Amino acid sequence: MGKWYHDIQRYEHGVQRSYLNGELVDTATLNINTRNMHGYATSFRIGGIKSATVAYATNTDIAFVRCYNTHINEIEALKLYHSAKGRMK
Amino acid sequence: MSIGFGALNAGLHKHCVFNVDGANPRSNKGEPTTNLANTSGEAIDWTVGNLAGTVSRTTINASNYHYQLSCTATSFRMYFNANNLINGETYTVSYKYKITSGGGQFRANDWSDQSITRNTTYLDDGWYYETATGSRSEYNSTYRFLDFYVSDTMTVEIKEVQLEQRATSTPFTAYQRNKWYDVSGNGYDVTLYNDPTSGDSNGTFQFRSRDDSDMSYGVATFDEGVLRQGNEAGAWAIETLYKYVSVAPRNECVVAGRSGCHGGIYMYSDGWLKHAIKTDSCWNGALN
Repeated sequence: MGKWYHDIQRYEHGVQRSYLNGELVDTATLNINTRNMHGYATSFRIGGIKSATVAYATNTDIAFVRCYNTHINEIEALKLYHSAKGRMK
Repeated sequence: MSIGFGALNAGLHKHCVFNVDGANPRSNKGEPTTNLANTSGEAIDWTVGNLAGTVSRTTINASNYHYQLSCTATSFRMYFNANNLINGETYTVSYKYKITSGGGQFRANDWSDQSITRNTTYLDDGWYYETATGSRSEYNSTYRFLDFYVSDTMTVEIKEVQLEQRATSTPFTAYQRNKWYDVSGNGYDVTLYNDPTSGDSNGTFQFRSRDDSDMSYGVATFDEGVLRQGNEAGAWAIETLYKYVSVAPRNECVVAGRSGCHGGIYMYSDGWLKHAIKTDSCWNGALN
């Protein structure tokens, strides 16, 4: 209830990592030999998604969303969290 | 160029391809709204009419939505387009005014013959900012007005008239304010749908969708390959700061990279955060 999340999703070379409040919380491998990453559509959605087959609304306060064309390493993830945590109020 | 997320990660600046931030006034220029006192072409869509007194309107500067009203006691009406009014809904009219000749009282009095909540704030140089909020069960070609009380003959300058379907006013817009602006320098501005509200206290946008059929959301259109996910050799990252206001009663989406689950951050009704990368098996790569 009323919980803040600083959330980073990182992808590189078939490996996905998830950082929550500066800490690595999970890693998954995408086997690119058996699973192709789908071609990218240009639409990027914030706060909800709706299509012919999917509809997920949300009740959240979103402070910011950023995208990077590089991965973020563990040190950078922690620094980004410390930059943002002053807004968790 | 600075993109406003502090010096701690200065090296990441050059890799930031998208940045929208509710606390950055260049990114968040005000709460989403539609000014129903203007047309979609940003021309005024309000008139005035006599009541107990007479009134006439002349233009001072149409580009600045600045007009002059010549009034006699004791009242006149400001009419809006009935096609913009929905029965039973609450509306707020806001405007700036300055009495330039004559004297006495000038104020909003009622909304289509219904009581109003009125707030008047002094700005400077004789200008006031006034808001009037009211509702009515039925609007039609007759009931579509804000009545003004005018105590004496006077000339009043009025500008930035705004009519909003909401209980509080927002800063003036010529017609519609519905974007979150990308401050990365790439111009991937987010178009907001169904008016999420902006938080005054914590620099956020508040998404309060009641259900999936009544959804507030934003959409940015990236260039193909911005996140390099077109091939598996790429590298990219998504960072977001958000607060869940309640336990998710259903599966919810915070960010979605496409109309599926590519690059998505979700909260599932079981309380788990999900991160997903779109593959030929949609949730392959999903993390809790």
